[in-house]
Formats: sequence, C-alpha cells, structure tokens
Amino acid sequence: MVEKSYPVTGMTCSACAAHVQKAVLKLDGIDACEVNIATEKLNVTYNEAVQNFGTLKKAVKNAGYGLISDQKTARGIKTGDLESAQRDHEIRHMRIRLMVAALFSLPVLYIAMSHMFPGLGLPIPYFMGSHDFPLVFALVQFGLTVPVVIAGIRFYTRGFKTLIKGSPNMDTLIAIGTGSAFLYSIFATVKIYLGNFAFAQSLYFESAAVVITLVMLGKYLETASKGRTSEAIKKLMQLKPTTATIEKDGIEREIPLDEVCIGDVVIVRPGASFPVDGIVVDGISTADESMLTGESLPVEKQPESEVTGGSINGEGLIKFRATRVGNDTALSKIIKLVEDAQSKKAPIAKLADIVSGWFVPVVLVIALVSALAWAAAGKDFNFVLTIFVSILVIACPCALGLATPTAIMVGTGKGAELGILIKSGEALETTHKISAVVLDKTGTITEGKPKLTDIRIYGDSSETEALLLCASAERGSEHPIARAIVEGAQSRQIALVSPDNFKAVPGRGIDSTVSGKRVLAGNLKLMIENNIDTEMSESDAGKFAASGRTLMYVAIDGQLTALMAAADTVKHSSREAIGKLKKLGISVYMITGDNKNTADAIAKEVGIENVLSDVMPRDKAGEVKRLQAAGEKVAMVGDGINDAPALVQADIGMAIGTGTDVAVESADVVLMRGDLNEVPAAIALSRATIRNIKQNLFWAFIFNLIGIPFAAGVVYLFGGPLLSPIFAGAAMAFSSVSVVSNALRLRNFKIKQNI
Amino acid sequence: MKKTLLIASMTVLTTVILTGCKGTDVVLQYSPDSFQSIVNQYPDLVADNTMTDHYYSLTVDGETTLQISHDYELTGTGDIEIQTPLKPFTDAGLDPAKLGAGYQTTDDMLVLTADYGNGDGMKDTVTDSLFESVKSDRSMLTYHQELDHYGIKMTAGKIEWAKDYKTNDKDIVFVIKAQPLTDLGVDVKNISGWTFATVQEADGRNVDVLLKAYDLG
Repeated sequence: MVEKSYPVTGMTCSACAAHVQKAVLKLDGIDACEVNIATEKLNVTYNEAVQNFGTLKKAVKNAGYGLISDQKTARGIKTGDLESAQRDHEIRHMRIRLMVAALFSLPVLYIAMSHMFPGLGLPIPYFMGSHDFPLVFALVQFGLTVPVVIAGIRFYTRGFKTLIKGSPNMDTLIAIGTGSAFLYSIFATVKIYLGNFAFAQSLYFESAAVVITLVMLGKYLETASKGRTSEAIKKLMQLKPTTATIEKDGIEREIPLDEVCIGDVVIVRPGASFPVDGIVVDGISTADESMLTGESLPVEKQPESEVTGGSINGEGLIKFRATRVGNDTALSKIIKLVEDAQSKKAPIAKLADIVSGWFVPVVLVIALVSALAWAAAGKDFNFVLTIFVSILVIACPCALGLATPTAIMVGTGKGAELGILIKSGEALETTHKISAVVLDKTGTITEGKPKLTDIRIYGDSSETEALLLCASAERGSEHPIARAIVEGAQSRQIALVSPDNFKAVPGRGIDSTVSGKRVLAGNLKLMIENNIDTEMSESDAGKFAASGRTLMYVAIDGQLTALMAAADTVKHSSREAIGKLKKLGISVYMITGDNKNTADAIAKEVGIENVLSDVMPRDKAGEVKRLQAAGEKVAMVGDGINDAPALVQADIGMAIGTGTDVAVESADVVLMRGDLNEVPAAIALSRATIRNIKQNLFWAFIFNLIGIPFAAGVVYLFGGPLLSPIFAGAAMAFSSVSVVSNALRLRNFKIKQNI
Repeated sequence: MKKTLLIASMTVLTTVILTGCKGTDVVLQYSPDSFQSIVNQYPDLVADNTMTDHYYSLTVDGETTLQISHDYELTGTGDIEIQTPLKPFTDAGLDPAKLGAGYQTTDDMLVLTADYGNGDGMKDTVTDSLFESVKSDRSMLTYHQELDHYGIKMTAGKIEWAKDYKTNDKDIVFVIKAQPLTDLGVDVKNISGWTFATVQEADGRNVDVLLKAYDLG
C-alpha cells in the first residue's frame, strides 16, 4: 500500500469532493480515500500493484474533475510552489472570466432595469427600447449574456456532467437555475420575433447574467481567501533556502539544497537560514527558531549544539555537520504534519459533507415542487420560473461545504505558527472538549534533569573539597544524580580530576579512589553496609526527603563528609500554565512514579491538587482510562517513551516536542517549544476554532433557512416580497464570502485574549 | 481563455450587426398587418374618398374620424388628421383662436393635424397610406406593451389600434394630448365623449391624455 496526496482541480463545493471521493473509492485496491475541499487535495492509500496515478486520474476525470501528478514535485519543484503557482494561475483566469462576465452583465442589468423600472427614467438608446423595438431589446441582452454564459461555462459543463452521473453539486444548481432563465429568454426572443411582443416582459437574460457573475465573484473571492488560509504552510516552506554552502577539502561550494548529504559540513553566515538539521562543529552564534517553535528569544548555539533547518542564524558564522536532510529534517516533518492535519477531516466536517451531499438533490426537489405548486395555483409561467430559479440559486451549499475545512485550515495553520502542531482535524475538534489534563511530572512539569540543590558538610572538609572528590569519582557514571553532581561542580568552576579507580555498586552507588582518598557516594544502604555513621545527618536527610529531594551520602576515607541533595526543578512556566488550565475550567492531574512525598512537594509548588503518585510507567494508561471511565475527556501531556501508551489511551495525547520521537509519534498534538503554556494555548485555539466552525455553519444554514422560503414564495403568500434570482445570487455569493472571511479571523487568534 | 474572448467578441459583433438589420424591427414588420386585419374585418369603418379629397376616412361612431391622405405630397400639413366635434371642447372652455400648431378648427370641428413630409407618392390602400407616416421617421410608430397597442404619433395626439382586435377591448383609440388644452384653460376632465386619463409612456413618463376608445367586438 502507498499513501499519496494529489491536488484535484475543478472542485467547487463539498458535493464535488464527495463525488471525487466516491469515484476513487469505487476502484479496486483502494484502502482509504479522503478529499478535502479546502485544501483541494485527494489523500489516497492504494495498492500499487492494482492502481497507479493514471487509473486514479482517469476515474477522477470521468467524474468531471482533474488530478495533478506529483511528477513536478519529484523533479524538484516544491509542492507549495507548484500549488501556489497553480492557485495564482487559477485566480488570474478567474479574474479575467469575472471581468468579462461583469463587463457584459452590467449593461444587461442596466437595460433590463430600464425596462423593469421605467419610472427611474434610465436613458437607453431609442433603437433598443423594449416597447418600440422589442426584438432588438431582446437580442442586445442575448448578445451581452452569451459572453457571460461562456465565461461561466464551467458551471454548465461540471453541473450537467455531475447531474448525469447522479451526483449533482452546486454547479448543477447554478447551471439549471441560470440555464432555465437563459433558455426561457431565448424562447421569449423567438416568440418576439414571431410577433408576440408581450414576451419582452418575460426576458430573464439579466437574471442569468447577473447570477453567474455574482456566483463567479463569490468563487473568486473565496479562492483568493482560501489561498490565505494556507499561509502558515507557505511561511514554513519559505524558511527553506534553495541552496546551501558546504565545505569540502577546505573549499566552499554552493550547492542546491537537495544535494546536501548527511555528514556534509555546512557553512551558515550571519543572518542566513540553516538549510538542514545538524550539529554545530565550529562557531558561536544564536538562532532564531521562532517560526519553528514559536519561541521568540534567540537560542544560543555553540559546538555540539543542535541546529534546525529553517531557523535563522544570528551574528556569528556557524559550521555544522548535517545530520538530517531532505524530507527527514524537522522542518519537512512539521510541514508534512500540518499538511496532513489540514487534509484530514474532522467529524464535524464529515457531518457537514453528508448534509451538503443530500442538500443538492433535496433543493432540486424543493424547487420543482414549489414551481409546480405555484403553477397549479394559477400563477403564470414567469412567476413560476422566478420561483424555480431563485430557489436553485439561493440554496447552493457552497458555504456549508466551506464552513468547517476553512476554519480547520486556518486553526491548524495558526497552531503551527504558535509552535502547536495539531495532527488532524479530529484532534483539533476533540481538544475543545477536554475536561481533564493529566501532566506527566518528569520532563513535562519539571525540566526532567535533576540539579544539585543542597550540600551539607560534616567534619572538617570544605564544600569545594567534598564536591571535587565526589564529582571526580562520579565522572564516569551515567546516573542522573551523578550527572547533577558533576554539573554542580562544573558550574562552581571546580576542576575535576580523574579517579584512580571506580566501581559501581548496583542499587547503592559507587566506590572509588580519587587522589589517593577512598570515596563512597550513594544511598543510605551503601553507608550502612560500609559501617559509616550517618547519625549526624539524620535531621538534614529528613528535611530533604520531605521536600522531595533525592539524597546522596558522601563518605571520604570512612567518614561521612557530606550529604548532597538533588532535585528535578520545575520549569519556570509550569505554575503559570497550570493556572491557565484551571482558568479554562479544566481539572489538572499530575502523574508520576515518585513517592507521595516527592510528588506532593512538586504538585504544591506548581499548584496542582490532584496527584497520581507511585504510578508505574505501565500503569499510566490505566490511570487515564480510570479518569475516562469517570466521565472525563482526558488530555495526557508527556514526553518520555514510557508516556506513549498513556498518550494513545487519552482522548488527546500531547507530546512535548523536545521529548522522544516515540512520544511525538504517539501524540495527537505536538508542543514544539516544550513549554507547558502551549497546553492551555492548544485548548484555547481548539475552542476558538470550533466556535468559528459553529458560527460558519450557523451562517451557512441561516442563509438557506431564510432564503429558501423567501425564494419559494412562502413570504409572498403572506403579502411579503418575492425574492428575485438576482438577489438570490447576491445572497449566495455573500454567504460563501462571509464564511471564508469569518474563518480568516482565526488568523488573529491571541492566546491572551482567549484564556 | 482566448477562445472564450473570441466567442464573446464574435457574439457581440453578430448582435450589433443583427440589431442594425431592418428585419429586427418587428413592430414595423407586424403593425401594418395588424391595422389591415381590422380594416379587413370591419370594411365598413373605412370610406375611400380619395377620388374627391385625397383621404381615406375611418370612423366608428360617425363623429370622430381619422383622415389619412393617400398622397402626402398633396395634403401638406394634414397628411393624417383626427376630426372631432368642436362643441364639447368649447363647452369645456376652449377658445379655438388660441390653439397652436397641430390644431385646426372649422365651424363645428376640431382637427388634429400631422405633417409627415411628401411621402413616396400615391398609395392604393388605407394601410399603405397610413404607414407612409413612418417611412421618413420611424419614431412616429409606437408600440404600447401594457395595452398591446400600436400607434402613430401626431403633433397634438395619436391614433392607436389593437395589435390583436380579437382579444383587446380597445380596438381603435383616438388620443389627444391634454396638457396643451389644460394650458389654454380647458377643463379637460369634463369634455363630453372623451375620457381623461393619465398614462405611462414607454420611457416611463406619465402624461395626461383625452381618450376615445372603441371596442369593435
């Protein structure tokens, strides 16, 4: 099976997307298929032995649409560039067609207005007066309407094609509506030619022309706006430079980005972008990673620091060795993640698709039934036609189809800008329902790296001496506490020495000799087993343990010399983030394998009341399940491999982006900055997006709910006005544009305003 | 795109050519037949006096008459005339001496006159004679959609007839502009035998008129 994504051309509404999807799903060897109207992409998983691009293209073409190959992408043109060029090309053509349509529609409308509202006294040339020259009057309108119909010919080709294939879409409604008006007007023109001048009052050329123009205007604005919904992706893509400067055998060479290989030494000058991921080998500088992580402060870079492709070098020249290139770079993965999220439909979108799929046939029936009912009631053909056309035009479900995907595109794009990668529309939708957040302690609430916090000296040794001997002894150890002591010594500028010998005592500590002195460092058991008197340290040990610290006893030459305490420190943003979550009305839980004392101490420091302590890694998922059983919608936030099962079990798994790949893979949402503040931000963004979708759906539905009875003459029945097809067209265009514009408002989402 | 623009341009060009074509003037094309059908159906309405005074005479009630010259070169300012009794107008306050162009009076008749030039010479039928009036100026011929009437404009009035006398209840209508008479102090709403009405012209303007309409059946 292979998973591919191809741009689809010619789609105008969600019914089109459903039609393409149906056509592809009918093929053999298709495992999964989804078409997104907002991204205009077909995401398909298929058996390569059974299907290929050609067969897919044929199926899509038979359905009345086009499929674009990824050949150009393979040739090195960026997907975004290709799509952007296609979109620009499409917008340019739409603009020309719209201009042609508008240029010819306006005089038709003017001439018809002069006829419909003679009282306005609109001057028109004598030779085309509706009374004295009815055939000229009709022919001029016909001549001006034909270019409009040609400009909007796609409505007819697609609309009738899909109707014949049994999957009518919004083009079908426009095609039937305006087509009926146009054909009837031609019939009226023939009648005028045959001497029945009364038909000069039954011309609907202006309705056909103006409706086509307005719908084209709506589509044009919608396409132009839709381009802006994917700006986040474009911005990310623009971060990639097209070339890189590498150093080989002491010679600098500029090569295309695609030719950079793992292991190449890449040179990045001040102000330039890092082309790929790697590790600094020479130079000191800072990097602006704000576009990737949302972190506004520059990050220091020195030898051994990791650099990420797409980030911008500060003031120093940096040489780094490429470790990830091409599609493996962090930036490429982020782009892929966001693209995938935007192309996957949220459940609410699927519901809207089902509704709009039924909508078109239902509207056709309503239009037909209403027209027949009015005809049966004795109304003349002109009235009946007005009813028929107005219903078809006002009921176009394009706004309905756009309501959800546009908001999700903008929402996920905005998330990416803020360093919150939401992997799917479904994740975005579920996040807004979260009622409880379970935070893993280590690496999520805390830094995940213990630090030396306290030293108590017993006897005559100085703190420096104790630390020198202990840290030198621990140099070879990988134990987190040992590393905290080594780092503690280094931060105090203590020059360490090599131990004479070193022995690890499993479950206890180490037994080592440094500068001729025997150094024992480890837990209380190590001291007891070596008959070291620890009585003098009992009080300190009790206090440290109560505050959640991990203890290390240090004995030199058989005497307890020091008690060192290390603790995993809380991230500076944790307390603030937890406060924000509470403000959002969310229950916050901390989950940890630590004992109750240690866990409670950390929880108290950050303001968490609900503590799940002594939880073994394998039991974390069970705790999440227990909360779910209690009726909570749970988000699990973690960073370690051991968090993966809980991330999967939770309704929403949020991985701290600085964590392990397994956690990132298992999560629904990735928090790039590793800042806990991104958790409330993600929830607030999700809530704002869902609120936006609901507003969009409301507006899309309200237009139809109010418009259809108006157009069907229900209001007219009670003495109200009858909706003209022209106003129906304007209302329909306005509804699409208003939905896309409302979705674009999400680009202005501000975390502070939403929490 | 080029094809679209080409087709659009061709259509517009064709339309421009078509609109300039005489064949598209359906009002001019159908209106003579319409008048002729009335004459054919009601031959007694028309008297051929061309041997004595150059006029065909059309009247329904014997009081108000449409006079149509069979040779416009011979009839000067009176190529088409509406003749109607003067007394109802003088009773309503008309001073005949004050009437301007387009009006004439005899002892007992008010005559609305119209000059359409010299024409093409003598015509053999009343219809051909009537339509000599529009040959030099097409704008003299009108069609009124709401009433389904054709009409020929005169200086101070109009003669209208039903496009389809079978369905219309106003088959022949004599029209006199009311405003010039009002300006002369005539009480236009009280002229015996004539109906005062305000009607809308094709250009949307409302005009006051005096009407005498006949339903031929």
